[in-house]
Amino acid sequence: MSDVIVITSGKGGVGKTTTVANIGTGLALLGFRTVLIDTDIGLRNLDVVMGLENRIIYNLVDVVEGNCRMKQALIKDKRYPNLYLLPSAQTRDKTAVSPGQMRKLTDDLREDFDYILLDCPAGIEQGFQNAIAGADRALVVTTPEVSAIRDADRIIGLLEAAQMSGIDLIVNRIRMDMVRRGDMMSIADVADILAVNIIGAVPDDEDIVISTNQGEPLADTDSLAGQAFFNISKRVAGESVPLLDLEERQSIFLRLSSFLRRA
Amino acid sequence: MKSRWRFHKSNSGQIALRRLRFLLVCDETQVSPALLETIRDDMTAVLSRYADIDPAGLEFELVRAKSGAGREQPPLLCTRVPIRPSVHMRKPNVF
Repeated sequence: MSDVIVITSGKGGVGKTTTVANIGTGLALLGFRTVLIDTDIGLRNLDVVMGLENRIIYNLVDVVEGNCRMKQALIKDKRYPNLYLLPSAQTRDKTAVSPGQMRKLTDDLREDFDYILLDCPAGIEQGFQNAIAGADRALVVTTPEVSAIRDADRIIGLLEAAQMSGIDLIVNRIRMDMVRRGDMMSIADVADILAVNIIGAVPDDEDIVISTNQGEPLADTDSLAGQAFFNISKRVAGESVPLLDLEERQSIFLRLSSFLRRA
Repeated sequence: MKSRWRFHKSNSGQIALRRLRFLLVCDETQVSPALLETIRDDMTAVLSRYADIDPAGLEFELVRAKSGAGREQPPLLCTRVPIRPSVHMRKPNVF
C-alpha cells in the first residue's frame, strides 16, 4: 500500500533535494501521510531546503544505530499537517549505514506513511546503494544538459540492474526561451535520448532560489515551478495531469520581466 | 555567446544532442570514443564507394525500445547515413 520512492540523478546539483521537498509537500497537501528522508550522510541539505534545520534533534544515523526511536527523530512540519522529515547526519559519512539497514528502516515506516521519499546523494557509490535499497520506484532528475543527461543514463542503467520496477524522469530547469532559440535540448529530446517515461518537467524559476533562501517549499504556489512540482505530486499519486504549457506561460513572464528590467 | 539575441537561431542544442548520442553509445557499448570514430571513418569510406556520403554526417545512435518494457530489451546500434540529395546509388568500382 505504501510507496517508497527514491529521487536520484547521478549528477549533483540538478535539483534532487528541491524536487523531494516540493513533491513531498505536494503529496502532503493532497492529503497523504508523507515522510521525507535525507540519505545524504555528511552533506545534509533537505533540512535546510525545507526550513526545518533548527528542529533537528536526532537523525537517520541515530535511528539506525538505535540511539533513539524513530518517533524522536522524525520532525513534524508545522506548516503541512501530513508531512514529516527524517534528517541526515552532518558529521558522519556514507559508510555509517548499510543498504540492509536502510531497507529495514523504510519497511518500518511503511506502517505509518503513504509515501516515503528518499533524497539520494549524488554519485553511484554507497550513498546511492543505501538510498535505493528499500525503494519501490525511482524518479530520476536531470537537466537538459549534456553532462546531466549522460549521468542520468548511467544511473538509469544501474537502477535497471538493481531491478527497480518503476523508473520515471523529471526534466528540471527547462528554459523555453533557450529551447526556442535552439540553445537547449527540448523535453522531447531528453525523453527520446533516455527512453524513459517523463513524469514531469519543471521550468527554471527564480522562485526556487527564493524558496530555498526562505526555507519555504513552492508546491501549489503561484510560481510556475511550484505548479509544475505540484502536478508531479499528483501524477505520483496516480492522477493524470496534462503537462504545463511552459511555452506559452514562461514566454509571457520572461518577455514581460525582461522588458520591464530594460525599461 | 552573449551577443546572441533571442531572434538568432542557434544549433548548439542539436550539437549537444549529437554529442550525447555518440557519448551514450560509447558508454553503453564500452567502446572508446576514439575507436568509435575509427569505425565511423571506416564505414564512411566503405559506403562512399557506392554512394555520395556527407563525410562528416555519419552518426551512430542507440535506439531503445520505448514501450512499457522500456530499456530492458537490448538497444540497437543504428547508423544514420546522410546521402547527398542529387545522387543515386552508383555501381561499385570495378577493378
